[in-house]
Amino acid sequence: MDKTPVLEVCNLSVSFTQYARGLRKRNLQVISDLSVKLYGNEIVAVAGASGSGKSLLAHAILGILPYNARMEGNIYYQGEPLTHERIEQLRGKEISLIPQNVSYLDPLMKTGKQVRNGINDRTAREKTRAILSHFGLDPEIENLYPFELSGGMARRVLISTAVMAESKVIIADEPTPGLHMSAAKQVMKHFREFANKGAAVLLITHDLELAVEVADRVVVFYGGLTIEEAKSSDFQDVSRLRHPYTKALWHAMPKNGFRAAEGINPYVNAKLTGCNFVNICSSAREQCSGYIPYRKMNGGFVRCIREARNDT
Amino acid sequence: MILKAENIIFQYRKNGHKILSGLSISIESGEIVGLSGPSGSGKTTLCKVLAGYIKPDSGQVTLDGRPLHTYTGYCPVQMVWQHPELVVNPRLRMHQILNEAGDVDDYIIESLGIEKEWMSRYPIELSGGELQRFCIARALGRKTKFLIADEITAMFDLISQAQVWKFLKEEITRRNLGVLVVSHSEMILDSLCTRRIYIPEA
Repeated sequence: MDKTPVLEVCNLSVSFTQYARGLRKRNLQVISDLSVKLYGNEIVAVAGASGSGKSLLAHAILGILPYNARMEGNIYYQGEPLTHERIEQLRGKEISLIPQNVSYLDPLMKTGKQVRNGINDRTAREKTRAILSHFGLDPEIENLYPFELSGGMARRVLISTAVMAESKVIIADEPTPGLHMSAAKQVMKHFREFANKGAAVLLITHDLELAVEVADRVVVFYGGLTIEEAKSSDFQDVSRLRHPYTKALWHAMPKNGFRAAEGINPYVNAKLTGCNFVNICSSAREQCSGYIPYRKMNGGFVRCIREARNDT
Repeated sequence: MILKAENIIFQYRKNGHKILSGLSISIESGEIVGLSGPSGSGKTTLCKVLAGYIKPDSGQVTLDGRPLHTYTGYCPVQMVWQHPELVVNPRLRMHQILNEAGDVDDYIIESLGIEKEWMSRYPIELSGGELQRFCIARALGRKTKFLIADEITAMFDLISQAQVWKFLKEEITRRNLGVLVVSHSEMILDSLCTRRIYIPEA
């Protein structure tokens, strides 16, 4: 694909400023180096350990990081830098977010009004009704406040608000937890139809099985770094996967045995120098403690010395 | 010990539909009971009733034959909620949140993979999965006898999910806790539970 990506994130890093004691500040690096490209007609899934920076990536794109966060690196939308002024114009219209956190619903506004985004004409009402019923929600829930919804209903209301905007890019941050299987499948089907119409979807999820089924590419995060980019079809065969962590994820998939990998700590703050998997990797060598570049391999990318060498 | 709920009827709105209509359930110590059903069928509501967070319109919850609300102090039935971000005080640091219900043993903190460095952070500076680890630890005080787990690992990646359940299962066996596990994941319910219950659409 040589066309320009709809959305491109290059070498993103995020850190928090904390007050340690009194007025002494310290910096807490949470994302070191994330890069993702998103093309039209495409669903890209982002998988990875919780705490690896998946949600922060979404928040960085939307420009809604907490006040004490500092962001570096570049984000481009349709080839142009996505500045803070520009994202304020675009979000909710061309780029929309399905947040992970159900507290993003306004607790004092009835559900129906939130989905309609405050617009109260007949077209908006009919469209709201259609979208809600598409996701299996009864018309009655339009008159409920968010605290009266169950977890799965609140999730589907969040999805409906994003779908309502008919954006060019949807960033879906964990859209499926709390949903039963058929509702989750329905949501995925909707994303696919949406992408087929030319839009782009960034699907942040833990449900790798569902992701592999619907997405075109899968990007794996670990400790604030992108460590692998693979085609969804690579997940059919573990030997086609490139990074030890991705392989461990594959083994933890329910249909592959639900194995808890020993020796993998999902909460290491990964650094650019030194690989975190030296202990479990059979081909670890001296160079693994040095700088690990992110490079091309077998039609994907990997942050690994060994695999890159095999490639040449 | 035995936790029993008998003929529970509950509705959120006066003229609304009964989300729980005459449901009964009992859980014994050492049992892991799996609860599933479509979203909106009343799973969380049942959890809230069992843990004493809401009073049913009729029916009662008893622990060893004595109504649950007559137990004072630390409630022996503890609940871990589905959305950790809604059950932590945004203005407290994590070490304060962790000890809200009394001290938590160090080995629990360690086994759940809670890093020292997170203790001084505020909830907004942690991810959903990281927060949930604190919520699980907070509910595992020494006086906990029953644990109500409402979809508690949906925010974890697969590897962490397997690790957390491995620890919880050992802890449940060691302390002979009674547990109710709510989940949409057949895999979790199948591999953990001694008994399964299904709630159909209300």
